[in-house]
Amino acid sequence: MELHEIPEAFQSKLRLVIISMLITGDKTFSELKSITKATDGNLSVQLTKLEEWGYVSITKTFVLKKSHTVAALTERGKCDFEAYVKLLSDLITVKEGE
Amino acid sequence: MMNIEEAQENLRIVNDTIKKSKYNLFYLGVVLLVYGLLGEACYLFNLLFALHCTSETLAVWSTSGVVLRQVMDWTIRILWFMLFYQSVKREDKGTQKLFLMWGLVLIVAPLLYVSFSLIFFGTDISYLRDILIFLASGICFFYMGKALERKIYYILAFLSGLLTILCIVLWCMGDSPISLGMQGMYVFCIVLGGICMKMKWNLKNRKDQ
Repeated sequence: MELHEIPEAFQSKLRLVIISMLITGDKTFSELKSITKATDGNLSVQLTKLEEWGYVSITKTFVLKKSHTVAALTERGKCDFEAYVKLLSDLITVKEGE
Repeated sequence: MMNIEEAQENLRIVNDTIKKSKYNLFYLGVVLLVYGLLGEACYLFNLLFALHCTSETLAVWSTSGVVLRQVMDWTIRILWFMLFYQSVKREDKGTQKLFLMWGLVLIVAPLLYVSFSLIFFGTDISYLRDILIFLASGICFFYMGKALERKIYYILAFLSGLLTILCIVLWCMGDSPISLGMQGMYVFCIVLGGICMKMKWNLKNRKDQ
């Protein structure tokens, strides 16, 4: 990944936090909400965007008649996230070396 | 174009979030499993010696068993406090809830039992301890089910409720259950420890893939 190729998914802080959370495993909607501190609407919009871009898969089930949403990072999401973190680390190392 | 400050800030966000969203479940699982297994082992150990020993040997072993149980119970409480403190420091709300619930069972229920039974009966009443432990476990499982949105905790809450009723019935009938509450608590610890470790195991497998 190059600097001019950074996907839109990583250009918003909230989306970056969501992806960073999902790298440690699947999370429920309430778990995502408790760490991101985002509103239901905003979180829902960002998750839908990430799903459209193929970074996140969303599963909706019903537990005791209550809707239960679980978000997981896809293979593509994981690869791009790792490439993005590597790009950030490389950038910092190069700048600090100058 | 991204500058170095922006890159550092984004990298910090990534690292902080990963740290916050990692579960402490593996350690919790290990602690609960070891506690449950040791508790059960103590009971079996006492039972075996009760069957095969002379009264003098039995007295020695039974005292050792009681001391061992006390040491174990206090170790688990200190461990609980350390893990809870760690989750507060990491601002990990999910794990904090989990530990608060277990604190109810490990610390509050036995303390309530001691106070109530000494105040109202002047002696230790095992029924009261059993009822309190099952009741506290039931409440704790119910809230864990709500917080973690997992069906298994609702099933455990239902079982705890049934056992509470059973203890009350046995108490009314004047029958004596053999420390049903403590036994049940150890079994619950083993089950919960297994669940926590399995969740962590799934996480690890996914990371390795």
